[in-house]
Amino acid sequence: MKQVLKLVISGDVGAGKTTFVRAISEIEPITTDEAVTDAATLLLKEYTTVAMDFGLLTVDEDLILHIYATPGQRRFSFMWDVLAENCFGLIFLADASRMDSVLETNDIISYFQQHYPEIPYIVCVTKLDVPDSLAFSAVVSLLGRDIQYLPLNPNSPDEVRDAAITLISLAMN
Amino acid sequence: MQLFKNIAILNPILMENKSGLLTVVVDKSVTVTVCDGQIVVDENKDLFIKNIQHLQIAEITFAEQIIPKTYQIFSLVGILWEMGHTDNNISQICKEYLYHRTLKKGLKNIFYKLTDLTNEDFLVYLFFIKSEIRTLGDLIAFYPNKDAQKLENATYRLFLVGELVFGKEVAQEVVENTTDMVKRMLLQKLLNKVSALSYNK
Repeated sequence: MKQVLKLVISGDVGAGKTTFVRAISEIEPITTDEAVTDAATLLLKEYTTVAMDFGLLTVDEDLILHIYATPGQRRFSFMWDVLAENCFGLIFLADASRMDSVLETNDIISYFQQHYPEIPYIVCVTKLDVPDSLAFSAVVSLLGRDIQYLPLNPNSPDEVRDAAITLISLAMN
Repeated sequence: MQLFKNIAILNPILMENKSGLLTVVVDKSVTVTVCDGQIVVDENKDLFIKNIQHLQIAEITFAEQIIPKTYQIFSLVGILWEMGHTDNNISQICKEYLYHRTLKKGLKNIFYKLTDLTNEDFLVYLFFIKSEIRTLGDLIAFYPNKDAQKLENATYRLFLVGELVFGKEVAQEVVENTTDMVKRMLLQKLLNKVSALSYNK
């Protein structure tokens, strides 16, 4: 039986979670935004607002990585619990171009810290290149935790890879 | 003032994930079940939504109580309810499900007709909703005329949004009860793989 390692990406809507998953996944991420037809459209009406993603990376014939991107909305927080179960690490994305998004991310981090203190995590600050964005140091200051922060452009596979390496290394210690 | 009062009642229910019975009175009273801050869709849903948007709410009350978690049936009940307005046969299934939470044997043929009309998501949902021991393999065997890959994708998608608690095909494989040494070894393999990604992307 193959073993599965679970990596969870979290953060507010629009912070770059889908792009992150796409950069590391060997399959096109399965998203909940997919268009559907017929009666199931009704079923999926909710999913379109959930905006979740799932990707895979085969490590070898015995090991596979599942990459989940969580919904940011608080009313879907029950999903955070489903996804956090047995995950080896969390990467939070904070969108520097929106103060409200940073604050929301802060709340999401607090939730996971409170409920899953044993899971290692890092915070990646995205959209630093957007005009009038908060500076990297300002986001770090706002989130105010003594943890690892990284600036991240989710469109750069190398930066995504480096973020993943940072988290995996942290989880190994 | 009434608006502020309504918000004062609704806000903690949603923000603090409370459970209980929420009653809104406009011309007539309607009560819905709230589970962990989410309104469970039932036969009162339409009237409730109409009432809650009404500017002349006479009364709104919330009685906190323990409600069994119903996430697993939330969407299914929702779609069955919606579909209940479109087709008599399907309406029968809806009523069975809404009132008895079962799909009786007598409705089997109608159910099979239904499977021809819907895409994989609904089939996957119905297959797993009543059982936590069925596997992905069981699902694919049960719907031989459907594309296995599509069924698998739909399964993952539904699992992702927490609609299913089947978990046997996915979750049991997740590394959990293992030693630190084994886990570290697996993470090392992952680290090697991810480190090599820069050459592939």
